[in-house]
Amino acid sequence: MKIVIIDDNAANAMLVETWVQQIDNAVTVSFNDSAEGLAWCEANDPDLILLDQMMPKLNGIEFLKKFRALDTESTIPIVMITANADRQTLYKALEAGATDFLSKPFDPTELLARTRNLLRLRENHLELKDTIGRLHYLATTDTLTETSNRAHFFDRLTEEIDRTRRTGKPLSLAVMDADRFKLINDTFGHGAGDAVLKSLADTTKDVLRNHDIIGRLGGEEFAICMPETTLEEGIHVCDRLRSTIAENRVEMEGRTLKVTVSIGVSQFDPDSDTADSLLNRADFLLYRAKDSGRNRVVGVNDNKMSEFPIVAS
Amino acid sequence: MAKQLFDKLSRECDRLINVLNDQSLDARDTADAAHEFKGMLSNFGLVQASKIATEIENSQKPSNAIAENVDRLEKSVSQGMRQVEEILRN
Repeated sequence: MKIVIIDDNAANAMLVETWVQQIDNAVTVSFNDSAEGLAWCEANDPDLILLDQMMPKLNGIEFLKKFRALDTESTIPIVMITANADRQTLYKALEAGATDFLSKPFDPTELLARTRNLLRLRENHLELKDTIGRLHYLATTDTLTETSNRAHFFDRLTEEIDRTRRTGKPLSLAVMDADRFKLINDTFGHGAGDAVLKSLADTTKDVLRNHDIIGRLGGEEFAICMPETTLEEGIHVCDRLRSTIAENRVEMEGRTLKVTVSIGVSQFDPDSDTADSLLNRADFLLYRAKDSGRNRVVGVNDNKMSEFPIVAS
Repeated sequence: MAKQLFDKLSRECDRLINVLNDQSLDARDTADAAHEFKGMLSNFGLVQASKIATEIENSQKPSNAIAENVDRLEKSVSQGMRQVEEILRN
């Protein structure tokens, strides 16, 4: 736990530091210049700040306001230590974001008790934040392939469709499926199947652009949302992906597996499409790609379902 | 560590005495210096000296009008520091 002490009086700072160093797992950093202390706190992640009030250039209240403006969650505890005993200073400090307040001369036992309590709260908060992060990850991620799961992909697709409607920029969707995946599973086992899916996802992430979104819809089927992308551009991206996958090999327990994919691509029509209709159309085109020989990309413009040039393998 | 603290305290006392002995400070700067001195002295248990610093802070006078009080403060600080040094030696 990082404890920062900021006091322009070097003896005060050292005294406080001497006491709080008694706390288990505490690492202390001390500043006599409040502006330097603020810069350090902004660049690092302090767990607790012990702050003097009366300091030249940047006093405690000013420090609080500046720091809290950046620490938007206001979760880092800040204790103001001051010889100003008046209530007005206390109110100003609390309004500016102080978590607690100690008067000089401080009682070392009280200083330690308050510091330990606040550090305990900070630990609990960090643990909670970590748990929430992990829960969010589990709720939105297909853990095998580290891509969006079906539900999260649909949420993101919906967001992109809303953006497309607002901006008028194009959006294309691809649905990709591993060819003869059942045969791979039946021949080499589900471990091999998992390795193939992971490899497909990794290759897709490498080939796609930063703003493209990949999700696993289920089984061996993936969807790719390509914002600001026309059908022609989408077919080009997907064919590059298809050929990269076809060239790759999946190493699995001494075996080398060759895998190909089929891909259906369609562009969103703002006048008639919904997320479901777009997906259904891309899915239909995927099966056209399968039926016409696999290892290929099939794309169709808008809702007319007339076949666009097939990009052959 | 105790010796380092004592040395740091000693240096800060010297610094603040010098600040208060500067005859050019206005009332506000004098009060600010006295305020800092008050807090530090009280933290280190030099209660009598801290009380004198409080008097200077509350007097709201410029530095050229507080020479007598600064003199008392300096004597009280010296006495207090000798006591601290004695404790450390033992």
